[in-house]
Amino acid sequence: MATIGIRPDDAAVTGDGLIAASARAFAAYQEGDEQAMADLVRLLTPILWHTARGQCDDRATAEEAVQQSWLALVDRRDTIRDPQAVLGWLLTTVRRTVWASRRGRDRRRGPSLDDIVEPADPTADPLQQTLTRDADRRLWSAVAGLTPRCRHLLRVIAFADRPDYHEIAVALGMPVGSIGPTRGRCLAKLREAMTDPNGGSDARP
Amino acid sequence: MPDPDDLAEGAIDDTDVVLLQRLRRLVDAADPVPADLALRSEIAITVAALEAEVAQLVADAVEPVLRAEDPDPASTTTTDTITFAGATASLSVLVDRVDETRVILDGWVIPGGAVIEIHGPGGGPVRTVTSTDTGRFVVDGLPTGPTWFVIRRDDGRATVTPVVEL
Repeated sequence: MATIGIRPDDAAVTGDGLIAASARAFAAYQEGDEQAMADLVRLLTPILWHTARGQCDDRATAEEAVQQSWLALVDRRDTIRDPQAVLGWLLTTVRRTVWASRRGRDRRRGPSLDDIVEPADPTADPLQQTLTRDADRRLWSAVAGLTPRCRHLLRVIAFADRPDYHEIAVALGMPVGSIGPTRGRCLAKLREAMTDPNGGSDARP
Repeated sequence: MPDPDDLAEGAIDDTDVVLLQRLRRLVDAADPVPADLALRSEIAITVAALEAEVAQLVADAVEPVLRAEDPDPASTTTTDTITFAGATASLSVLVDRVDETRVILDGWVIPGGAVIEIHGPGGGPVRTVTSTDTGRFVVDGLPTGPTWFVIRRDDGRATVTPVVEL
């Protein structure tokens, strides 16, 4: 079984993106390679986690939703005819699972990033202390200035690759044109916020 | 500054990609994926797929061992005996830590003849060993790290163990 070269902080997982890599693993699994499912789980769990967390303040609920989505995939593996669709299927399933969990309790959808950006206890924001680079602090506050929908979209696609952005936006229920192949309003707003009004740009590394 | 609509209609470029990579690092630092979520999902999948029972960790005893070939009392090593028990199968392994990265498992399984799958960390291949009629097996050259076992019986039933750190 070929390794997929997974590193949690490596945005360029393969040359052709997360959807392509997951399609290969899922196709192998459908053909009887059980180990390919382990690879798929390792490959996609991060993006599924961040999708769940965008909708859910409670970590335990998010964990449960991710795990349940994997089990649902195994249960319905034969209903997904196109392996390219597996990531979109999982994203949709995670969203629905979190929504169903929350329905009985709190109907308000609060992306968890809100809590991180404006913590309930302003004196206890561990992240602030770890942001030693001004540019990082700037990026963080630029993200805070986005709408919750844009925050959620960018947060999730950050864990995928350029070829994937459009499909992911579709799976997240974003309007057509939200992202990919054009930048779309969310990414444009972020980029604009990162551009220094004096003419410099903080958008470059 | 470019018109926001123009910016939105522009093609995604490398600057955008770098920006998103930075966002990824920040989000990952602020709200990391629970370290064992993928592993627990894998185990849950295996349990469901095999309609397996889940064994319980019954004992994990670390004993100092004086090696016969190295009788210096100052140079002791430890062996770790780990035992799992399920309703239809049980597994006991003696973990011999040869060095920091390599482990030998000396094990017993009930029922004898069962096949043991050893699932390990980092996407390494699953090792499979068939026990003798009396349930004995030995596995050498295992990497250390989080490990879990699947016991597969002739009658198709399976038992999955929780994760242990080798």
